[in-house]
Amino acid sequence: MILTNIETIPGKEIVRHLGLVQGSTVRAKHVGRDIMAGLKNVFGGELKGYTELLQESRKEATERMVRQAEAVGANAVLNIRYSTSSVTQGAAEIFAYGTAVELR
Amino acid sequence: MSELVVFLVLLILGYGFGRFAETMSYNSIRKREEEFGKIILVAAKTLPADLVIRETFLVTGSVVVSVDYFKRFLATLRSIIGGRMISFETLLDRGRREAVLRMKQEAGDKGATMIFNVKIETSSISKGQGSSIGSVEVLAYGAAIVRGEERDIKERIDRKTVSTTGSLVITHVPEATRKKVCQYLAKLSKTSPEKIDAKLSKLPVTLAKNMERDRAEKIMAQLKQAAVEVRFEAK
Repeated sequence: MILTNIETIPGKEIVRHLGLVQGSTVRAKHVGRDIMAGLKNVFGGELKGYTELLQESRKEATERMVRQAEAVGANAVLNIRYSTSSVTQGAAEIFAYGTAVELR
Repeated sequence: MSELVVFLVLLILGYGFGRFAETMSYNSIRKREEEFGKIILVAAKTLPADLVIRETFLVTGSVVVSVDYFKRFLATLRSIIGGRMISFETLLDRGRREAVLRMKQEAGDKGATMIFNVKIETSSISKGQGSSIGSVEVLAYGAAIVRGEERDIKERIDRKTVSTTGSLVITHVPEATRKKVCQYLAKLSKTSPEKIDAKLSKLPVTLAKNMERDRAEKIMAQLKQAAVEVRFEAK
């Protein structure tokens, strides 16, 4: 499975377009991390707990997208985009989408 | 009274640790920016036509950063009179550079030298917490490219512009397929298989001095099926 955010890959030919595939996940931080983050809000600097959490969720969203792409018989997802939005306090939605194609 | 003390303590803590954290992270960012300077970032979507690509994959880098208590206090004051919020500007600058560096790090670890279509996205993750705009997430992502070898590039350019004609050089013909090869070549050059056979007894043999490259390649593919060692020599 080739994942990329450009539209074409030189040397490869798009045989079939299989439409949009997407994956999303909503994650909340647990209390321990929230308290640590609260402290960090005083001191400033990187909130490692949140960085990890968002990276994990992004991975999860990407995996869901890949699973959907596999289901429609694609071997690559092109033009991938990510978006993050906070739904309520303490929870964030990560959304990944792209075009599923069959390459040769 | 006690509230004021808590406030002052937080302010001083924020100032001290915030300064320290910022200096440390800027130092580290500067050092790594030098280290990863070789990786080229391009915001364009289309790749140059003559770029030889061995591999391409998605790379991401992300970071969540927050401002300290002192800076937040300054920002609150600033929002009364308006103007540039320098404390938040440095926060976003730091976040963005850090995210880009993490993306570069991932690309560099996998041997990529270029990243195309770089997108940088910023989002506030503490929405709804009143005045605390404090923490932002920055995500950078792009298509990392591992370039093919220079040799491949040269060959491609040769093929495109420099030479379109040349000759076939046969360096080895296995005994098992010799008869078949002779017949095939005789048919192509419209002579008898015996003549070709005589020619092939002294290797290497140069055939067809002004052959079109496309045609030569078709013939080479056929010959290679018969385990003949053959190459194309451009004029």
